[in-house]
Amino acid sequence: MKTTELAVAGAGPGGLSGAITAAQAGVQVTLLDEYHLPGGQYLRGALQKNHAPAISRTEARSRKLLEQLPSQSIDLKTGTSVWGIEGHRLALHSALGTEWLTAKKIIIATGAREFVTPFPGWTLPGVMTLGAAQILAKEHGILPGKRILLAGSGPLLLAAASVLSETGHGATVLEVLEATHPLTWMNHALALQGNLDRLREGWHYAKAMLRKGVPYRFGYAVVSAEGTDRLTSVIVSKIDRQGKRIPKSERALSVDTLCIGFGFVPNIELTQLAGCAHEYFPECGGWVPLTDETFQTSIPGIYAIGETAGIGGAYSAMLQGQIAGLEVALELGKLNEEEFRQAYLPIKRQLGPLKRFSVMLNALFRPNPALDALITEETTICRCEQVRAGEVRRAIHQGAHTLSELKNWVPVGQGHCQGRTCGPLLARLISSETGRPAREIGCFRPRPPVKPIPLGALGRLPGEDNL
Amino acid sequence: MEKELQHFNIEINGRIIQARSGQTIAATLIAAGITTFRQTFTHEPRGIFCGMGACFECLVTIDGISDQRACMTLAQPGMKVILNVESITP
Repeated sequence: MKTTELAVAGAGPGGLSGAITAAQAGVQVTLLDEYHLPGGQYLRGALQKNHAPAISRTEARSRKLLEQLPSQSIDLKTGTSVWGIEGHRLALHSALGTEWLTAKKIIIATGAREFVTPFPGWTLPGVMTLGAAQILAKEHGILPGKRILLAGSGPLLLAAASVLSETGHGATVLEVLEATHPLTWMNHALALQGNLDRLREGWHYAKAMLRKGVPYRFGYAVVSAEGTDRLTSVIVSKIDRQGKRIPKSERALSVDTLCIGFGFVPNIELTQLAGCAHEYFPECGGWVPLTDETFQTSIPGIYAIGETAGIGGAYSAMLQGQIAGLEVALELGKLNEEEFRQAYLPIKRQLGPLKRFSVMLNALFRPNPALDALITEETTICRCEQVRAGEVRRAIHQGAHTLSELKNWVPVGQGHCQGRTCGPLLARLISSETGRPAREIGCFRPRPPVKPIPLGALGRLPGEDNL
Repeated sequence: MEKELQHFNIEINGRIIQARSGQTIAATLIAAGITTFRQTFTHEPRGIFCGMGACFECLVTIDGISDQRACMTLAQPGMKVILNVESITP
């Protein structure tokens, strides 16, 4: 069985930062990522191209981590899924096969996925997340269609709008539809304090939109996506500040691509499998592992940083990675208390304003529950097993008031995605139908393998007891 | 760190399509104008959705191995990809 001092799951800005910090202190580090390149979603495309100057401190610093990585004595394993965790053993799968990795310390930095509120037609080819379109543009230099509509809410909507507008290739970004109203933003202005870098990034994207003359409209939602084999048009409607549809404000847009997203959901499958304690914090994006000030979870030696520990952006993830990396080095005796404190305190001070900012963003752009009124009975909720909202609502009315109960009524959360897409949606539906708080509704409990592996690979897993 | 891009062919349902080194199967399909990657058990068309390996909507068969995520798999010269669709468009 392979061993290492520190295993880091996820090589985005947070994981890179944790791995490099620990390695520089003398810790033996194995850095794992499912994709074939390090960098996570934030740094997609950063290795392939010569770049324009970084638009923010966050981008500059994360790109530097990626450039530093090859010169570190870190065992980088890309194309490697972590599909199970048992004590301090990680179950890995790659093209080379399946193996165990035992680590004295584990940092879980598996990031987040996008959240999309459903509407009729959202399963049609041509409808995708903002992130999917942004990856195609940033990493592959292609656009997903010719006539593109962007909708949803939050910072990624602005970032994606800017990236897609500038990629060109004869494609047009017709409009950008933000669900919130700018007037509600004023209530949150205090959180901007100490966050110039985040504002600079936002302003850079906004300038690009202005330059391209792409209309950015506020107070709009997608009512439905139309088409048979693929998307051909989208119906949009104005919504008021409570998220309710404004009657007779609908219009149809002829498009081949709709990119949509309403923020993020933390990927907590591995912290759940490890048995860490979790809590529901809407201001952190939902269910997150509880962590102490060095980002250690309730299980000693297992740390959770970055979006996994609460949606907070790439800069915050890098600082958290540094702190967890330092703590691991301290625990393994590579740093003494004094060295740790000197490095830790200045980083910790920076986290406060960032936390205020992310809490503000998560509150401001959280999709209004009133948007659920757009989910018709025929709307697909579980995309894998094609369970529709009507069936789900019937089950809720018959008494399924938690996610586990719902799973016994209708076959949700049992497809290939293992409830990653429908889990948070179903929790919202239960909440809006019953008024129960999200905390009581719960979340799906993942089972290994949390990422699919061939059955044959399990049989070849070395060791006496398989997961 | 500009890498030299290499072009090569892959096979999609028997049709030859050009791919580029560093491109995923999903990006290769989209670049070729193919948006439907599979059909569900009720024949609903599906394509790329999350683009980052979480939603499992873009499942295709690659070199005989079914249910591979097109968005997470790099195109390699000579790969044979089967989309579970009646016909590929365009």
